[in-house]
Amino acid sequence: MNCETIQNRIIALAVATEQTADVREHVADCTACQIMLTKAKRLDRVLTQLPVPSSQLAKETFMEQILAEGPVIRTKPIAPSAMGSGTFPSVAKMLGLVSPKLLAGLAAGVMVTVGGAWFMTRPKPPVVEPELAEKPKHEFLARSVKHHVALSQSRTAPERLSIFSKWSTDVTTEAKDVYKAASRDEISNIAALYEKTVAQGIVEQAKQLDDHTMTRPERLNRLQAAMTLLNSAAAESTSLAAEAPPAAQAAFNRMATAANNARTELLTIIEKRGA
Amino acid sequence: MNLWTSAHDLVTVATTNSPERLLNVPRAEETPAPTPASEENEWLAAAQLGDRAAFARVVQAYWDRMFRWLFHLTHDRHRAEDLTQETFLKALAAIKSFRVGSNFRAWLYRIAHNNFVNLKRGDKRRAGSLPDESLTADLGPGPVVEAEDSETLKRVTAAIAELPSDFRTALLLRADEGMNFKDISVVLGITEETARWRVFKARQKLVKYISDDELEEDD
Repeated sequence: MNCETIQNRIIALAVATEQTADVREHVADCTACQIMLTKAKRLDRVLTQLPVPSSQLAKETFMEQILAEGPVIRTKPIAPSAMGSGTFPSVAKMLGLVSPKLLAGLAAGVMVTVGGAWFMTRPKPPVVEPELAEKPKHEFLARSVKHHVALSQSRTAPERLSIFSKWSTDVTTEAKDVYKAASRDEISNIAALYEKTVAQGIVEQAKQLDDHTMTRPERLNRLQAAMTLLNSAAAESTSLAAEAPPAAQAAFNRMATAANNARTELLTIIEKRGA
Repeated sequence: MNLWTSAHDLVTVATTNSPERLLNVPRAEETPAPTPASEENEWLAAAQLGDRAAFARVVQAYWDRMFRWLFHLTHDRHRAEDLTQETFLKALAAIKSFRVGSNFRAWLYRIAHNNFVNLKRGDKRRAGSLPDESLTADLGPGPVVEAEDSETLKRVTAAIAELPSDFRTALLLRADEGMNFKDISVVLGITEETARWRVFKARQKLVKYISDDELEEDD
């Protein structure tokens, strides 16, 4: 066999170490084929080390959906995304059951039916069906969407730090607004949201602030502003924990702890980098 | 709809979007060990009877590898996550039609590949293009990069991205997933010979990106 045949065989084997006897025999006496074998082995190694981002959070969220009661696709809202592709695909897309044309036809059908029903009943006093009534727009969700969009358009860590700071303030405001009426699960969800916003948002972005993005005084200013915000949130949460109903106490304590932990981390960043 | 869950999702997506968070997890450490076939068959049989926990185990066993493959096909973390979820949802919807004891991995990857093909068709219609995170992201120092020369890794990663999609899908099923050519042919809906040919051509191209001066330390 000539070198070309041998080298083709070497390339063809996904596991280059498993070469046949005749190939091994040839390679032992042929420098060019030895080099090819070494390259093939190296390629095998590289192919197993291709970098991949983590999808841990998406996996965990999906697993929760799978394990939750009821239909999987209805337990999760569709998160809008400015990237054109959110973590959760649309209901129709996920199930692959409804084509866009069918969906459009269905929507048209609903509109005709609703229009007909309205026409038939218009002399009567207006009665709005609960499903058709316009639901009040929820400010907090609207602001969350706005922050999300702003984040997807942001390019620098300082921008993202500012957005996460505003977002965390919105979360604390929401907690204050609803804690008296919210169930344990609801207030706990808000606390979890705050923890995530602070730990994975503010702290992570604060770590990204460096000399390339801004001057030291600017960086110090940003970090101190974030620390002030966290201080205030920690104090307020601690105070609310003392007077909140039992269901909300734990949640406010968690928020206070999250704020304090984040503040400590920011302090460490300042001390380490001498910002 | 739970309002706070919805907001929670937004934060989850937002906090994981930044490029700094990409490429920082050693692949090998995340990948669960292959599940014994008998155990997997038990899960699948239970899942067919409506056991969600059993199906969750299946998801746990396959998520990382499925996501990894789809990430290399799409070069987009969010699309890869969407496709992975979609694949498992379709698998769950059709789980009763799966014959327990036959090749579940090939069945699952076939669903994933169909989803990917549909996505590509949609992109062509919209004349959009997939962003390429694997090329633009900074690899940075880390266990993965330290293990193999980062320049080589970058070159090969870029070269893989340049491969025609049909060749890339076959190569990664073979190299990364360790599939035999018969299973690759099932997943991609091609003949075994075509699968073999595609993997060969892909490797032939990639091996050129391993330069001679990096070979000294190799055996």
